[in-house]
Amino acid sequence: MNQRAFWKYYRDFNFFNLIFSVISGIYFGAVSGTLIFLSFGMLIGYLGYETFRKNEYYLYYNLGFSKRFLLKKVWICNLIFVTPLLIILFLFL
Amino acid sequence: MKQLEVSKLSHSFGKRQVLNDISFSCKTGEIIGLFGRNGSGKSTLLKAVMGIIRIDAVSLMLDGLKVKTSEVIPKKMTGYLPQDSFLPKELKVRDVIPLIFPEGEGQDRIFYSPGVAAFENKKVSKLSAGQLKYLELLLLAHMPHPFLLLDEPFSMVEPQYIEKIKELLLSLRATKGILVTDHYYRDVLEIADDNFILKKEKLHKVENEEDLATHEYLKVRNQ
Repeated sequence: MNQRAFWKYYRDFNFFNLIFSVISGIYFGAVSGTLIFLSFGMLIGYLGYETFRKNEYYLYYNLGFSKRFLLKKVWICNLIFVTPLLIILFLFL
Repeated sequence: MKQLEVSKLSHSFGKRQVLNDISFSCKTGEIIGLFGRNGSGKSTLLKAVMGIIRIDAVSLMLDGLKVKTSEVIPKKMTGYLPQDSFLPKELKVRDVIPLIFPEGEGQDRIFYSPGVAAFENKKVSKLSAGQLKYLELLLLAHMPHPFLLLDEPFSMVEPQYIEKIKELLLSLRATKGILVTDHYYRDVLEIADDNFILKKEKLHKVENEEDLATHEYLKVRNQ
């Protein structure tokens, strides 16, 4: 699997997700912001990518990544990266 | 030699049927030209073969073995050149190449391809239409897909690059099967081994400009 290409998708997708989640975090608190990053923020990421970078999906199709695979892997990676942060937030806040 | 067979391809948008029981096959070593007026279903047909849209019905066989449309992308069976660029616009060409070919050998093949040095330091967004299509085709050419689906590779491209693209496609014929659709019909007719036109949901074989005129794709010339 072309890891470099996947991480490019991961960054571009989460750019939209992160902006939304950080703004939500400032407004509703860190725990909510983090949970939004894993849930509704994913939808924002998806819509943002569809709106501004839709044609780049063809690059990933040509590299052997289906859209479903990409979305699933982004969510799993987000879960892996954010879970420790969530635990810390739950323990110390 | 590999063979891709497409059969029973049907699709409709709401009540409007665009493709009805379409069948064709493509072998490595051949270029197939596909014509049709706007809205006739050419892009839909390519996307259906690629497996990126849900379609009413289609049957795919690769070398006689049935393949699900959901397997086309993961198995890297077909590469796809869309009408609009698929490359990230903010990157420079020299950063796009390693993104797609992480290994040095693959990168070298692109960097040392004729003409690439002239624009490798430019951003993708700054390339001319011809440079962009040529680069995208070069990238696709060096990927492992045995088949390529090309949606308008000549459109809006300057003549100098049209010639380069034709040369590239003809050289690719040695290892790949290519399905190309474009309104630049003379260029397609020049390089394709077989040609078809999509008209009223069906695929018809055509051989020359007269046939295209008969099928009302071109205006009939008065004698």
